[in-house]
Amino acid sequence: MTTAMGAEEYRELLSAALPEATDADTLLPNLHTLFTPDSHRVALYVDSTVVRGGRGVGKTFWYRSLLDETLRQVAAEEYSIDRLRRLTVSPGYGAAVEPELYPGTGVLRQLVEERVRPYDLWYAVLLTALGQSELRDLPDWRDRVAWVRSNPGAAERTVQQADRAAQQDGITHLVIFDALEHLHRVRAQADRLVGGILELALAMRLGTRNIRCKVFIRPDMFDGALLQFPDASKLTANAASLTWSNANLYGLLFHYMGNHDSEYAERFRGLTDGWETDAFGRRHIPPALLRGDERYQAEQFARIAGPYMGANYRKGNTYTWLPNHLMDGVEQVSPRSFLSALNKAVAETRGTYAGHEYALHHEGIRRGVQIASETRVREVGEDMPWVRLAVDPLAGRQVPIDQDMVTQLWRDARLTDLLREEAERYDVGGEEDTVVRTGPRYPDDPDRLIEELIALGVMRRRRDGRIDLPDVYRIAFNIGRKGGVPRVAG
Amino acid sequence: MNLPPAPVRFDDARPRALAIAYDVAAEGMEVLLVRDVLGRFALVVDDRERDVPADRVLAWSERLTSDLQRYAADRPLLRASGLFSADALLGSERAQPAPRRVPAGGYGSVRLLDNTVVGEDWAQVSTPTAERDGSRTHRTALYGFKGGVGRTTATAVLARHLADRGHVVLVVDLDLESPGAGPLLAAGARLPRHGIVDQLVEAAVGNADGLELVAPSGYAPRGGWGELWVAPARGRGTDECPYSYVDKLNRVYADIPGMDFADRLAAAVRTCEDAVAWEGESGRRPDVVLLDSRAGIHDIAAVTISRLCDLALLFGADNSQTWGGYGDLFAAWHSSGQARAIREKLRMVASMVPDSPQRPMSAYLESFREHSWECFSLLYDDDVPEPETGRLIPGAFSPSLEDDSAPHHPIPILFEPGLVGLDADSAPGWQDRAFVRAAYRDFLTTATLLITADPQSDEGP
Repeated sequence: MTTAMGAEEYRELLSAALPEATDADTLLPNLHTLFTPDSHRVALYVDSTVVRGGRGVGKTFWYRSLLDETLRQVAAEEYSIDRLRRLTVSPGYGAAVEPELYPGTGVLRQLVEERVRPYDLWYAVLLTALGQSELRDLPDWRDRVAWVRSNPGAAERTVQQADRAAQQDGITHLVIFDALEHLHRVRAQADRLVGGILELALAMRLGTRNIRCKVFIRPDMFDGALLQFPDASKLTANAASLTWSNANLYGLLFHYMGNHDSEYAERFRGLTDGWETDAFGRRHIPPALLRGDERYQAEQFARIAGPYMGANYRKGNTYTWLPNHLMDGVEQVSPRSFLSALNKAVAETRGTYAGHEYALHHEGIRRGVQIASETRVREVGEDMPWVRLAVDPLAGRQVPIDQDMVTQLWRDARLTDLLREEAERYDVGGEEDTVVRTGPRYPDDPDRLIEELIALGVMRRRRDGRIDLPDVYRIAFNIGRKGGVPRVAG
Repeated sequence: MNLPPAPVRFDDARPRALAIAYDVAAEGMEVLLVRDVLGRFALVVDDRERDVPADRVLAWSERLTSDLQRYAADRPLLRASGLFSADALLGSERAQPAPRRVPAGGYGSVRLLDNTVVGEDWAQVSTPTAERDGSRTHRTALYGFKGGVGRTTATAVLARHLADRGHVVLVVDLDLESPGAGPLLAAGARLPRHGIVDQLVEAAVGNADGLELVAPSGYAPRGGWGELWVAPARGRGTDECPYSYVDKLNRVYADIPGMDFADRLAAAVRTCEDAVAWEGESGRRPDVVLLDSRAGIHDIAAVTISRLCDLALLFGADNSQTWGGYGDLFAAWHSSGQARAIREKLRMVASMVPDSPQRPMSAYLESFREHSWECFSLLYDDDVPEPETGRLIPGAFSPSLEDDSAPHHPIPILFEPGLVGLDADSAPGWQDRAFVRAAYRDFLTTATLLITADPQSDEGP
């Protein structure tokens, strides 16, 4: 039996195992980091066409895992989804530049300006993935789309043949789409392009047996695309969501801790009995209790952080405190925020409370959450600069706040003009052209703008109609909260 | 034609008086605003160190008279230098700092002294101290603004749960106007001959020795060395003469020389605790005391919550009576400057929570939580960015709606029709029934953790 680990040993393990980077692109899936929460199983069904998820919940993570043969086998094994073993997967769109497989940002903008029908465009992408030889000979996407338009019969035959062949071979062609916020900076155009993808995905699902699309998408973008073609609602029925329960988040933490290459990780596995090694012998699978039992997880976390956020239970529980304070307005916690808050908490404890009896001091955890909030706000600002423009005028105010007050502040700050200028800034083109962001759908309509912010989880509406902000945004934006007791300075 | 000005009413008077007090303080004076039992205000200006020009005194005095009308005292402006007992008045511990923050530099302070007939105990928050040997008796009040929310039943279930966990538990029935916890708990056992009311009337005439105030309940805790004791409001009495409960009740609220009602009640609870050690086989003092407080804004509730306990579980249903009532209560704590001291002692309990397909628990609790937050926010810090920097000052006690350890966050007890009007004597073992266990599961787990934790310090988190 392994002996218990001390505070410093847990700290060593945590700071080694937790990812430091907060950028999505540097948190790549590999055999060590691939964690398979039960709640994500449905998202990996081949027939789950639409997979919804906010920023940082793992859309890109699964997109890349599906493209990787080894990781796909791991997922097939652990989720016990046999169909995942019999797939050929190709990217239909993604953040990576793959001009052969799908058009890049600049090309897309040009095609949109030329009023190309989005459906035809994605049809061309699909046919390319299926290996249509005539298309492959045309280097330019403009020509490929034109070919699709003028050769409907040949296009259909390609699909039919690929479908039949796949059926005979017992495989499914899966074309997957990600990073849709990069499609087009003008929200209405992005919506049309997404609408085209979904229309094609639906056509394949209804018309073929062995050709499927999977679209990883932010919920607000999915809702926007639903307005584009009426049949899209048929896709809502089996849409999956990438959500993270508290048990999932802690399961991820323990997975990271148990999968690090160090003696500490080995001791940690010994302390939490029941780990298994997968068929490849290269990764460790946490026992079911550690993956998903909140009580057991809370006990384990208490060994690391102590049970309470202070002297005792009345100060709050460490186990629930962390996710509660990272939750956005739609009650979602990004796993990346969660892990980076913990990482910061270790550093803070080491710096200020090194003698503490636990690996994490509750003040360190508070600090970690604060940093994670700031990171979250920065990320959202990168994805959607307009969110920052819209929330900034509320700085110095207090929530809950009347909706009329919000719209008044926006008028005072001339938000509509600011949003227009922001959009124009990217129109100029140049270097920033590769980083396309989606603007708000209704920059001129404050009430709908609020609805968009609510859908994104930045704001939430109280039952009495007033507007509130979850702490994860409120604190980083320096927005106060109404209370009755005046603060005493110092 | 000129209409006569609208009369100043009670509620208008306080803000008007405060406004004048702040203006006088802005001229550099230390001031104390005194409200008498009828609600009339007088402003005491501390001129002992600093002279005040006569014309200022006259101006302030006239303003008090004209702004406050009937709510100005006969002598609305008093100078400390002219008072016989200035030190006692200005140094009174009952004076509270003014609710609004007074800016630093050149400003005098503003304090408020409220003289009331009853209900003053709401304004005197303190937490019981540890015993001399360092051990602590955890005192928890169970209170409902409205009666009939299942508070007494919950007290009984909780007491048994704690005794099962090895605690020596004493339940004191302070619902003197409608005693109930005693019989519910003692089921099957004999109640003591005397009750809390006997202790109060006998102690008033120095005759409390030899009373029989506590009795072990009929409940045998499973495992461990737990004990469950009851101190009922009403005793069993004797066969010799009739037990005149109402006559006693009429006499318990009187103040006696050197002891006001709050002191008397505190002494009574203490006597019951001592009696457990004295009468019990184990000789242990209770380590958990549950005070079943009466409902409403009443002096017993005021003393129980503000002074006797270190934790108050506030019962309520999600309706306007609950929130209106707690709103008034919290406003009183707020205006008497007690918000900071009381807020971390409190925790909301959502009792009789429905859970059916038509009305799922989650939706009910969500609505409850928002109303509760709205009410409690009066006691929370106003977390406002600093004007100079535009940034928030860290460390505010201003929990978010979702914070599951915050005072407003409800602990649910499911509605269980089988428990309405329960007669414990004819339903032995009722607390073991599966539906009872299910209804109280969250409550028992959370309340046990809260009760056995040490009281909060005065500082925020």
